[in-house]
Formats: sequence, C-alpha cells, structure tokens
Amino acid sequence: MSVEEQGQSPDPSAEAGTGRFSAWMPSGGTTLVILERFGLLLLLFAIIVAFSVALPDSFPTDQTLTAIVSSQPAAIFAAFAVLVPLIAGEFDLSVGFGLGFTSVFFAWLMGNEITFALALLIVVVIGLMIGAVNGWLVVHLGMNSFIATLGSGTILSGLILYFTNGQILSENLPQGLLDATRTEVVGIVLPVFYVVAVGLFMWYVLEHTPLGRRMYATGAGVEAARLTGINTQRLRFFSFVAGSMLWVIAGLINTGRIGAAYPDIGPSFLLPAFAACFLGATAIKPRYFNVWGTVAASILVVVGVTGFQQAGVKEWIEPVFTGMVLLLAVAISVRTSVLRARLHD
Amino acid sequence: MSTRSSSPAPRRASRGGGLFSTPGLVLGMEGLSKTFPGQRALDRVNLAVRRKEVHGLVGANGSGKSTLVKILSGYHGPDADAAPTCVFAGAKVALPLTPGESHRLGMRFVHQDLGLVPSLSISENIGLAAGFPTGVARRIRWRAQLALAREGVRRVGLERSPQTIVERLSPVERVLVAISRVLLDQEGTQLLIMDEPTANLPHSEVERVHAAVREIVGGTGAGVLYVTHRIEELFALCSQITVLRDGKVAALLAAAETDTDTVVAEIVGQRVDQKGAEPGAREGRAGGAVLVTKAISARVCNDVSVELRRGEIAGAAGESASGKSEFGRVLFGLTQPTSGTLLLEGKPVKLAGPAEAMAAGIALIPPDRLRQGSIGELSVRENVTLASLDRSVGGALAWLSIRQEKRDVAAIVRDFDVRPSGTEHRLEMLSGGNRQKVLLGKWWQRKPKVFVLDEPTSGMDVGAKAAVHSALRRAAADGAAVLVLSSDEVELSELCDRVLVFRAGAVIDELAGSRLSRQDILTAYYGNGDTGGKSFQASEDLGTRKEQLS
Repeated sequence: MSVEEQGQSPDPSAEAGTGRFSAWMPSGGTTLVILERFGLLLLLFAIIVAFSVALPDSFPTDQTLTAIVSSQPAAIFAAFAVLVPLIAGEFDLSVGFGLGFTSVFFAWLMGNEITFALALLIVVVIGLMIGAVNGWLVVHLGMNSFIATLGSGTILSGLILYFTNGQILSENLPQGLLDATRTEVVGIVLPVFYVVAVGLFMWYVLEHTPLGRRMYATGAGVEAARLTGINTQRLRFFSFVAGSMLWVIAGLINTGRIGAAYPDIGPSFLLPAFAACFLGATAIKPRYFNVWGTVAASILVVVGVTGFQQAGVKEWIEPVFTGMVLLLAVAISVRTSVLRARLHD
Repeated sequence: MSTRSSSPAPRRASRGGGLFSTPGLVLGMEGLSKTFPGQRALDRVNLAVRRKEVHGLVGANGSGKSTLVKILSGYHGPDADAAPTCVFAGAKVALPLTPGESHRLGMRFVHQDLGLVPSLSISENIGLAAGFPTGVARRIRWRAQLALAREGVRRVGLERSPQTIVERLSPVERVLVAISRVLLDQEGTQLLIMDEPTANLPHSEVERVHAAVREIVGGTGAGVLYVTHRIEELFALCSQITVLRDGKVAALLAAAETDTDTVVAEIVGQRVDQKGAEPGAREGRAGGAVLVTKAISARVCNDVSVELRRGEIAGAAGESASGKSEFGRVLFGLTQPTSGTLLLEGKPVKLAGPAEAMAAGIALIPPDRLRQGSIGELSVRENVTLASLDRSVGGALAWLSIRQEKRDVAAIVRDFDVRPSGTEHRLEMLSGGNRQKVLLGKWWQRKPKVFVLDEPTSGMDVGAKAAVHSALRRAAADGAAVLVLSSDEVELSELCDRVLVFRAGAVIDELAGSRLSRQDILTAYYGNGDTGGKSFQASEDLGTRKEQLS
C-alpha cells in the first residue's frame, strides 16, 4: 500500500476547508489527478486545434459549429438514457430503437390527425411503459439486462417497420415541435438549453442526493447496497423508467430537428451513446459514469467524426471512429484500475 | 452439556524411522512445517496413511488442517529449511508439489465446495474430472460415458439417472457425485483427501457418505485422509486418527482404542496458560436486555432463544454450518424466521428487511467484507455515508453537502484510526483491516442499539484485530449490545463476556464468567455429542428444505 506515501494531509479539517473546490477536487490534488479529470477536455481541444489547422477553410467555421450544436442534443439525450441504467449497474440496449420508435410513432400519430398535446402524452406514456417492461424483465424476472433489452429493442424495431412500412413520415408534424427544436435564443437552438437544464438536474440528483448515491452504490456493489438497507430492486427498476423518459425526449428532439421520422434512425444512436458514457467515465469524475463527462465525450465523438468527414473520409468513418472511441475508453478504465491495483499492492 | 473429562496426559505420536517402513504406506510425511508471516501453521508434522485405511484428521480452527491439505494439493509449499521428507506410494517425492504433480501421483481431492458444475449433468461432471472415453477424432463416446457414470453413481449408492443436472441434487447427493468421480478416475487413485465433506450435511445423511468412502477403499484400495469436525465420524469411519493442535501433531490414536473424551481433550489441549479470561473484569458490565429472541427458527436455525444485553459483548461460536450466521441474518431482517418472536426493548418486532432492522437500531457487518460489506469502487466517504443517507433531512432528493460529508467522515476515519487517513480513496485500496475499520465507522455512526458482527476479524493481522476489538469494547461501553459471530475461539474468549455455542442450528451451550477460555468453548462444541439428537433434527429439516429449494 503506497497511498500513505502520497502526501495525504493529516489534518482532516484542513482538507475540508480548502475552499469551494474541495467538494469535488480530490484531496492532495496532484497534476496527475487534474490531468485525469480534465484529460478529455484537453483531448477535445487538441482535436479541434488539429482539424482547424488541417482544414482551415471548412472546419473552424460557423457552419460546422451550427451543424454540431444542432445535431448533438438528441445524441446527448440518448447518452443520458444509457447513463442512468448504467449507473445502477444495468445495460439498456433498447435505447436506440426506443428513440427511433418514439420518433416514428409520434409522426404516425400526427399523420392520423391527433392533436400535438395528445400525441405527446401518448408517446410519453408508451415510453414509460416500455421502460417499465424492461425494468420488470430485469428486476422481477431476473433476466440479464443485456438480453432483456436486446429482446425488447428488437420488438421495437419491428414496430418501427409496422408504423412506417419503411417510409419516411413527415406529414402534419406540429409547428409546436418544430418551434421547440429549431428556435434560436441568443443564437443557440433551444435543445441545447434542454441538455443543460436536464444535465444540471441529473447532476444534482445523481451526485448530490441520497437517491443518486444509492443508485451509484447499487451499480457498484448491489449486495453491499442491499445490506445497507437500500431497496436495490426498486432503484434498478426506476433506472429503466427514467432512462425511457430520456430516450423519448431524444426521439422527439430528433424528429423536430429533421422535420421527419426516418425508419432507420434508431440504431445509429446506440453505440455513440455507450461510447459517450464509457469515455465520459474516464473524465470529470473519473471512474464514475457521470453527466458532464458524458456530455464532453459525446461532443468529442461528433467533433472527431465531423472533422474526418470534412477531410474527405466517407461515411464509414462514423461507426469506425465511434467504435474505436468505445474500445479505447473501456481499455483506459480497465488499464488504469489494473495499474492502480498494482501500484497500491 | 456433559461434564468435561479430566485431561489425560497428551499422547505423543509415534515418530522416528518407523514411519516409512509402515506396511502398505501410501503417504508418509515427516517433519512438515509451514510458516506464514507471524504464524507457524505447521510445526514438524508427521503423517502416515496406509492403503485401504481411512485416516481421520481433526483439530480446531487454525490447528493447521487446511494448511496440510493445501500442501498436498500443491497450493502451499512447506518450509524448505525444515527439510521435510515425503514418500508417496513407495517413492520419494520432492516437496513442494504442484497441483499437476499431486494429481499425477494419484492424489484426488474432495473439497468442501466439491468443485461441481451445477448446470451440467452428473455424467458430465464425472467426465470432467475422471476423463471422457473418446473415439474417432476425440469425439466423446457419450453412450460409454453414460454407462460409466451409471456404474459410478450406483456404486456410491446414488439412485439418480446420470443425466440429472447437478443443480437438482440435494447436498448429500452432490457429495456422492464428487466421490463417484474419484471412483471412476481412469488414472487410478492412490490417496483420496476429503476436506470436511459432511460439514453441511444433516446427521442422518452422513452415513451415505461413509458408505461411499468405504466403497472407494474397497474398490480402489486407496488410502483416505478424512478431515472432519465431527468427532462421531472418526469412530464410525476411521481406523487411525491424527489430532492437530496449534500446528503440531497432538496425538496419533487408533480409533478402536480410544474414545470421544480423549479425542476432544487432545483437540482442546491442556488447561494451561489460559489467556484472556479475566472473570473479575467482565462481571457487572452488562445492563438490561435489549434484544430477546424467543424460540426463533429459520432455515438453519432451530429454536434459538437468546438475550442480548446493553453494554455486553456476546459471542457466538460454531462452524460455518452451525447456524450462527443465519441467526445474525435473522436479526438484520435478511432471513425471515419461520417461527418464534423477536423482542426489541420488550416490544415484539418484525423485521421485513435491512432497512427496517436499521430503523429499529440494529446493525450488521456481514462476513464477506469485500462483496457484502463494502463497495470497493466507491470512496471511503461514500461507503461510510451510505449508512446515514436515510438520516438526511429532506428525503431522497435533499442536497448532500459533500463538504459536510468530508468533515464527518474525516472524524470517523480519525476515530477508528483508518490508514491512509484520507476520505476520498477508493475503498478497495485499503488493506483488509482498514477496510473493516471503515465498516465499523460506517455502522457505528448510527449508534446502533444492537451491533452484530459476523467474522469481524477473519484474515486480519494481530494489530488490526486488536484495533477492531478495542472499537467493539468501546461500543459496548457506550451501551450497545454487541454480538460477535466468530469461528475463532481465541477471539471469542478474549473479547466476549458470554459465548453462545451453536451447533447444527441450535444453541447447545452458553458460557460465561470463568468458563470462557478457548478450551471451554472447544470442549462445549466438540464434547456435546449427547445433545446431538435434538439439534441434528434441526439440520435434517434443513436438508429437506434445501432439497425443496433446489
């Protein structure tokens, strides 16, 4: 054990009193810790600089920024939808199809001349029910979440085909939704504000309330959490329901932004969402799945993809880059914990 | 309990040159020592097992039994400087062994956990250990394998199709499957080593295991080294008995020429240099009863009535299957009693789960610190505050001040002398002892009225142990009723004001005052064969219930 040699401040009051940052700066904050915490942001910055130098005419422009800013909110909400169950220790693979289903189902309802408010209510309720079914399969039937959500997601993919017949649905989309996803305030589209608002709320709940702490504990050690009086079953169930709410939002934002519901939109969101969560867990609050790390990672992925596409690489770069990011993120977290274990043994 | 027999003079094992000239010797070991840091686990041990002989190996916890078995299986190497000699099946063998070597020599093991794959069939489990008959292109000849397995199963007295999935078998049937694997081993078994195969079995089923062991001896001519905690087994099954005490051979006895009292006396040792028993200091500390159980029965537990008192450290002794852990789980709402009542401060309570138990002022530190007790991936602070989240004003969505948490946890870390002293390390970076100190702090901040600890110091060094003990004494002095469940008799005798002896699910004895030495506890545990009738009834119930469950 070499932790003792790392220069811990022996006086705990001094540690607690180092000011505002003490709440989230680790005690004995070394450059290494800071590097770990903000490494992702540095990498993001480096990528931006690199592409700006390489592609001075197209990359560092307003168009690029607008494209990224308007396309990202749906992806970040999808990542949030993955994040909540992940924190409670569960995988939700139905997020992509859930998002796609929300999108086409909403468009289909509108095409059948239902009012905006009613269609909104229906997709929200159906979404919550799908989340509840996922939670029931995993928590009450005891299924592995990987398998359960793979199954429910596949069913959703069938429903997407049923409602679209493979066609793009764009008729009668409500002006309200288009306004809510396209209006700009101080030059920024509204969904960015939704991301910030929901992100702040999630950050508050997950990192600063007993509820969030219990979710992290459930994910990191379900048996120990249970033996500390935590209702782990209810929390795991809840995580799927909360996640479903988030992919419903993602689906709606995406429909409004594009102005149409594509039958094949869902799956392309899933892997980037997982990549963002895992890469996000290497930063901001390292080794914990966390909100702001997820946001930063999500932006990093899209910046990288955009840059490569502008450099003339074809569409294949997106899944390749995303997949590599996912593997790299997981490799980093595995390696650092192995390294740490070695250092401290 | 039966009165303690007067301790006979210790019989020394016969030793010297005669050992290796024993006729029919399978395993002969001389001068076997093993030293762990700070502890001599084995001290010049001699052991001789003959062909067709069931050789019993007994001893209290920590007497060196498992170390001896682990040296044979190649898990540990003996001290080299002691220059042990080992003869196996007529040839001199160099120590340390490797697992492959001990297998090649013809040693087969039936460990307490059996090593069966529950989701596979009997036949497949047999094939995995004993080898599959193969045909062209190494294809398994399933029909031949089934025939072989059927034969093996029949010979150990198991009336099951070899295609039965092991999961569906009762505990005793699983033991029989493990034994049948040895019987069918195509490479030939010279020595079968069985490590407490009957520890989790009810009395009535032990005979089935014995019959299977006799079949092995008759069928293969192998020798058997049979490790057990049950004295009556020695007389039912074994011809020779080696008693280990404190890493030394205390006695080598012929079963036909000895009796229970003698064996128990050898396990327990002489009543000399008693340590820790200070009756004067212990008396008058206990206050009124906080928690009373009346005839609690639950799974393993049978009719347990005990009283836990304010300011007192009570202990529970017994083996892993004795029901003491189950009793602890009942007190924390993890196991629902099937009958009986629980009175907390005079009022009957029903504990539906840990949350209710915590609200009632009960705390439990479970035996598995790594998995059940703590969350390695979370920080020290997060682990500690996990037990106080329900106290935060404003419910589940109230703001948690991390700064306040740091201050609180820093105080606890200082109080319990956790090292390193920071609050933000991941808990998995701490040593076992410090991890346990964190858990003590986690639960102690709730000021529980009843503090139950299951194996609180297992695997700890002396210093960490002492720290945990002093924390518990402090808890008792502050008015808590402390209950320590431990299989370490030394710990119980040093720490506790009163010790409940669990066996087969029941409390068979209660020791207090001057009767609190390690020897007293061991004598109560091993020497009470005559009270077995009723208590074993309980574990028979357990057996059938387990069957129903599985």
